[in-house]
Amino acid sequence: MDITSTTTQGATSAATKRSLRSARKGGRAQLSGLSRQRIRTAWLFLLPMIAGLGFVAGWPLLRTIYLGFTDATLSSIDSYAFVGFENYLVYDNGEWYGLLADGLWWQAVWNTLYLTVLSVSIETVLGVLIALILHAKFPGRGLVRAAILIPWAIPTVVSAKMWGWMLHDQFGIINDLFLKLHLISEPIAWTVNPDTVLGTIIAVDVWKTTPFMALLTLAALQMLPKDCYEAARVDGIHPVKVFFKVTLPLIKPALVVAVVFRMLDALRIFDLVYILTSNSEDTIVMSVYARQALIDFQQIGYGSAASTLLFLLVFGLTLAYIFATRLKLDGSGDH
Amino acid sequence: MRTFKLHTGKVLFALAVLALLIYTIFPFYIAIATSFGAGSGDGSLYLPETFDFGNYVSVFKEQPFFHNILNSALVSFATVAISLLIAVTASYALARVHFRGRTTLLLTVLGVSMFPQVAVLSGMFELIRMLGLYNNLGSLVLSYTVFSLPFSVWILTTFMRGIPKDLEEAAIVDGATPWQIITRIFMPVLWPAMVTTGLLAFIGAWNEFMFAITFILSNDNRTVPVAISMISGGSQYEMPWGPIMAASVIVTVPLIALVLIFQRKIVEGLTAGAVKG
Amino acid sequence: MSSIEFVKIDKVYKGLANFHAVKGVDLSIRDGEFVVFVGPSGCGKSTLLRMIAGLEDISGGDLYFGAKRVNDLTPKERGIGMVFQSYALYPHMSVYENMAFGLTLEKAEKQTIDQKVREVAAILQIDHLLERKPKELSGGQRQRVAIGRAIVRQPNVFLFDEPLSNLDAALRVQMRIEISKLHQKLKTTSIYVTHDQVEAMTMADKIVVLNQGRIMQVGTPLEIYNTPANTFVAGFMGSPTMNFIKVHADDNHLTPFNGTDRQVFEAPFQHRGDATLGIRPEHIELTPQPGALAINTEIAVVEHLGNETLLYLSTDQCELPLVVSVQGEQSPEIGSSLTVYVPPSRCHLFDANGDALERLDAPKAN
Repeated sequence: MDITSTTTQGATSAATKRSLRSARKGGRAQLSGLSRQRIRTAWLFLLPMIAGLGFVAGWPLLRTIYLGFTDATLSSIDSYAFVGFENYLVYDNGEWYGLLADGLWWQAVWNTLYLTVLSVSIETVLGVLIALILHAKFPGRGLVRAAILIPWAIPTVVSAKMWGWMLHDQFGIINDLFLKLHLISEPIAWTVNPDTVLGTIIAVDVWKTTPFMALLTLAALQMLPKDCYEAARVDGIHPVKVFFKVTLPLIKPALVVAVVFRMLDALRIFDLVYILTSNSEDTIVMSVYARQALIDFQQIGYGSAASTLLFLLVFGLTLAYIFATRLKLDGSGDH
Repeated sequence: MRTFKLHTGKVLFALAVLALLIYTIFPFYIAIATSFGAGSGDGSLYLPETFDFGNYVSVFKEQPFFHNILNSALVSFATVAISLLIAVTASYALARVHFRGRTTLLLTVLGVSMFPQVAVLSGMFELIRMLGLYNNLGSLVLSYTVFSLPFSVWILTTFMRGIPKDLEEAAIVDGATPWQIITRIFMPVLWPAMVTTGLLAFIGAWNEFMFAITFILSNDNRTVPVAISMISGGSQYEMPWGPIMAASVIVTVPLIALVLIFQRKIVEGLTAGAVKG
Repeated sequence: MSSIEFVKIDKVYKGLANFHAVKGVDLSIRDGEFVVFVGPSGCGKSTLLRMIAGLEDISGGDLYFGAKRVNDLTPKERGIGMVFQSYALYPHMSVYENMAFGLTLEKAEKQTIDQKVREVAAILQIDHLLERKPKELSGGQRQRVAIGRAIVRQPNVFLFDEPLSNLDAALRVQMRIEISKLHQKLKTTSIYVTHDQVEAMTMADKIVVLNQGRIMQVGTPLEIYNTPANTFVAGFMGSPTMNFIKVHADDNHLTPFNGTDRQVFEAPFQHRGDATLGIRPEHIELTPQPGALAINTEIAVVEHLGNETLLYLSTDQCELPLVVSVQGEQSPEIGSSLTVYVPPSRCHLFDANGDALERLDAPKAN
């Protein structure tokens, strides 16, 4: 930069003139070139993500919704006709047809919801219990914490196969153990018997996903201030009461987030059901139903309609959650 | 009396921990035992009589399992690389630059990570056929990247917000461009977060099933989850449990090793994605 | 190096309620000057510094380095060096790499970089630390590295954002002296933001006192001390703070507003109406002075600082206790009465708006 030899006064008068000019031009406060440049760079950086998500997620989603209104099939995916809401519901020859008139679809919806609610409730309770255990100090805590990550890390296909084997009616160890403990009097075909199969799937799902819940809860527990516990102990309040009056309200926000995440995840359950009880109508869930229609029965239109409904369910729940909690994404709130 | 109470408490607690350990580890133990021959014929269900590697040999002999592992590794690494690359620039913009619509964009990204895979299945199927990627591993890289990208962005954004403003401004004063700030300052500072994010993306890609079974036709191109699901015996009622368990152990052991090594980092990543959100 | 010229600089943070952080600042900084921005937190001093750095948008007005308008230039194009409060050293780089980073980005030659880094490291006496990582350094060492990183690119303007506030008291004094020495050596235009008035008084060629986004006064340290432009500056600069007594002025006759003992006294001012009389604690006398205002007080609190003793005196002539600073150790009895004397030659007078009134005699130069 130049070494100033001009007198300060000279610079001032020139500067004043320029400032008057810019004041007339600009008037109100505006972003300078610096901020604008920074924002431009930001959008450039976001471009690959937006393009990727738009092209490989957004567009397929729109296509799925659109195909749900057509009679497309897998063999003729390029030529199809628009059929309006026929995939959803249509009255023809004195009979109702379509997704909403299909008993199996409603079975799938019911199973999905049943599974989601039960699985998430059980794993929440269990997860909190495990988190409380891991929150206590004991030798080998690190190891135990690592061990509970194992079910989470095992591929769903593998855990489905593993449990399929353990639940085997003849050679499975579950039957063996239960018989030895006299919990059951004869072997049960857990994954076939309509009375047990849904419960079995829930049990396996709980086994696999409780670690997630436990770890998130544990993280929340570890962020709690210690002084209110010490205060409670000084006051001699019973630990159980402390848990319900102090701990639970404090970890509730984190717990709600974890529950919502898990619910959204459970609603789209596929692998476990598909492998453990492949084509059983007793356990059919929405994802399995939709994929069956799409791929196995090759009815792209109909399957897309089913997919769309599942999407709407998940989407609705997400929106409800976002609005209910007014999810704080950043402290600054830029609008 | 008091010491007695204290002792019972300790014993009960120890029992609870033990029960917890059995609950989480026992199933995988059974898988290992079965893979070495337990439960076949008249042997014990719980303990193999000898360490029989027959099941392991048969997995590689009767299936293109080596190929499957290679496919899985290839797809997973490609997914991790691509989604980290895209996520790191995107999360810089989302975490460090104030612009209109930032919150909306973050919410949209979060929304995509909640998509049920089946919701995009038919549209994606179309897209993949259009791109000529059907029965090609590229189709999996494409679809996995889209599903791992949102949470990668989400986690990295959370971590990037934690970097002090001064550090970035010092780099700006030093004349670094945004790209240089990311590559020379943020990525080295954030490498633990990058490892975590990459690991989560890797696990997701390694374990994925629905796209893998839908977009890949031939045995040679399959990834391991599908390959395992397709191991079958002579009839529907005679599942070859030994080889299935052997295959399961093979694909799970590396994951468990990773999880045990990076336990702390993974927990950090999961919590950054959820609790702080 | 460069002079800096502010013309009607504004900063508005947009939001639900627009926050006017800096309001119409006009200021000239000469080439090579060491200028300290001082003021309470939230006064806009850091915002102003960051606008010079190019880290903050300028909402209105113009900023010149020399004759060049720099509003839209990036920090790099402006050629500034900056030292941050938190040091902001790159944690993954060694001291050497930290200092060389800017030059590396400019793609300077390795040899040149090496020479410059070692030269600066020698000046700052950190040449033995070059291979260490920031986390292996003490606070004072980190501070030096941060300064070194800013110097190494030979900036036109050197900016300090409360650089010493994270150091302990002893180190702070030491670094203060070193920064002053460094400035004498490099003669780079420097702007230094602090809320610590001792730093301001000791380091500055020119102090800029800011409050609520406006400049309250610009002047040399002694000008600020001897002739504060208003009650804000008078109260902010100086420790313990200046005493204020409400008076009624009738030309050069001043009458204390409150209290039972309303003695009229003469001071060299020309004013009619309500005013505030200001007198620094160190200028109040305990012995009778000719023409001085005598105030009867009662000793409320005594603070021993070793070299001086602070007396807090309650009187009905001002709301806050009158503070008097006395040299050396004194142990007057609490509760005893004491008459103190305010010499007119040391008085400041401020009008109802708080602006200083000019003395009719020339201010004593000391």
